[in-house]
Amino acid sequence: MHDLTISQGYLLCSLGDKGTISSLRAEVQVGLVASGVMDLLLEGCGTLQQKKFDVAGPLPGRLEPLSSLYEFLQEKPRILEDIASEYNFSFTDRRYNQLLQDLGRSLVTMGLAEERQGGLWGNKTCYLPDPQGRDQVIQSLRAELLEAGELSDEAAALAVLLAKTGQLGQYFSKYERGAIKARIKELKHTSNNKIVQEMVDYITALVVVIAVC
Amino acid sequence: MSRQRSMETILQSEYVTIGELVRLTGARYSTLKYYTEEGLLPFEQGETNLTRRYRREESVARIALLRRLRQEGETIPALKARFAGR
Repeated sequence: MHDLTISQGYLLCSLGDKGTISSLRAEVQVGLVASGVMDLLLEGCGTLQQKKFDVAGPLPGRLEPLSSLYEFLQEKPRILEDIASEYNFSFTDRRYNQLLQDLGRSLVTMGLAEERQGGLWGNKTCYLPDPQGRDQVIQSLRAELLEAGELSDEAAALAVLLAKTGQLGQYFSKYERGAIKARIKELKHTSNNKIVQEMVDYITALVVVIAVC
Repeated sequence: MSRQRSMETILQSEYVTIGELVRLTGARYSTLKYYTEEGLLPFEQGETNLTRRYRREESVARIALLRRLRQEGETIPALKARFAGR
């Protein structure tokens, strides 16, 4: 199995069978950008202080698909809402589409997705997820979340992202979801990783904003 | 919490977690959990927070063997009898 980043894992789990993320599911799209920010934070490429992201280090090779996001954040320190606004609520979706394309192509390179043209007019690039690869991500997540013992930052982050963007239901049973939500709640109070804690708050707040809109 | 171990690190480790076995073998978590509960997949209980840990090489080989035997039609009771105490 490949060492997937949080954003690659998130995208693999969020792509529908037609290889797209529905534009009607804004929370899932916000989650994709948040997963990229989370990757950058956990790799030490940036810091988060009072919800403001500031670049703090070089971009490692494994995060190459996030280079467009990294370059955008390099311009100046930005608050998380501004990142979402620029990526998810702009008129052109240019930045979001670039991020999606880079992450999608990285999955294609790993053999975890297939690039195709699709959409209503056949001019949209789609990334058909490999079902086996996606199952691997979920099984690995399941093993970490439902077992006793230490939870990795990556598993915690991916679980929070899937939970807050309403995607646990398609992969986990009701019983498992209950256990996972309890684990996330516990994480919020016990985690010594402030980044994960802050991102839980950030994603929750954004999803609430989207729901109100 | 800590960072997830890379595949490179996992492949050099003597012991792995069940999650890492999932990543190494591509087996489903529920399958490995079931094999563990049925005594088909030996483990050691870590002293700290009672985490189960598995010897990497032996476990990967055992999972491959169990997979092959299952494909050949061997039943779980038969496998349990075969591996009893091993």
